[in-house]
Amino acid sequence: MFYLNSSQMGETLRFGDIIQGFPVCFSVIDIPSPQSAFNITVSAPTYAVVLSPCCSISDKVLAIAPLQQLENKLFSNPYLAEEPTRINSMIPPEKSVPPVHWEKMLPEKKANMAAKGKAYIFVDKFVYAPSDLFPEYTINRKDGNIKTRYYVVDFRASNKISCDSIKDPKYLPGACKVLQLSVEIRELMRRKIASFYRRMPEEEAAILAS
Amino acid sequence: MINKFKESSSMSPATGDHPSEQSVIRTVNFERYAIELELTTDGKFLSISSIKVQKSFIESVGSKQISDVHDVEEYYNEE
Repeated sequence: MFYLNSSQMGETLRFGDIIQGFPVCFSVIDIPSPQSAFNITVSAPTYAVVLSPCCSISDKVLAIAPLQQLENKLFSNPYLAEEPTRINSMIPPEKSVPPVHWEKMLPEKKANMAAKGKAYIFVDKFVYAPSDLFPEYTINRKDGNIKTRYYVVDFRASNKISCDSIKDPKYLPGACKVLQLSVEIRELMRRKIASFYRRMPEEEAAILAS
Repeated sequence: MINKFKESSSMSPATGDHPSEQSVIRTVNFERYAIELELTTDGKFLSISSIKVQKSFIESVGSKQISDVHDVEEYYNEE
């Protein structure tokens, strides 16, 4: 079960919830300096995802990211095209890339991946399963168009929202809370976002090991 | 580390047994292993005293295990 049904949903906000009614914004700057001009883009996505950990939803601050359509490239791997939520868990090396690339991959790279075993791919993304609430859209592929209701959140697109109503963890979001992940799926998302932040550059791993 | 067996009259000498004659321990590094050799005082081989995995190797493995990500995005292209 990916989502709780409406009778099971809690009243408070939780990590991974789908919400509506919150704007997102980001700034764009060409050459950062104190004198540079910049643009601020504000949008009102239909749905957004709560990225604040459950215990940090308080003090009028909330981290959210827009819920977005899947990228076309994900569907070049039949294993993911069949079930896009597979990227939410660690997957075997041979399923991590489209078959044509696995066959051509250098033996050294294959051996490295095999040594690592199951691991995340697209570590900055978490796919949301279809819901009747989500509008259907089309993925255009050379081998045929695909209609889907899968959506994705990009951990890199996190925005800070200031909201006076979010005073403590008992904040009741009312109609703005649309869907709640099951406990199991929320734990999957928690593990993946933890891995997203825990990655260590190889050069730093070498320093720490020396 | 290889376990040492106690000397017993019913058993033949085995790896790790301590010979009764005077000996010295010398550590030889081989790839990821630190091998302790038991030698006579004049340098003749008596036994392998222990084989340990070197600490630096353990640490490097530990740091690699932190990475649970396949970096494969280069194999995915938009159409």
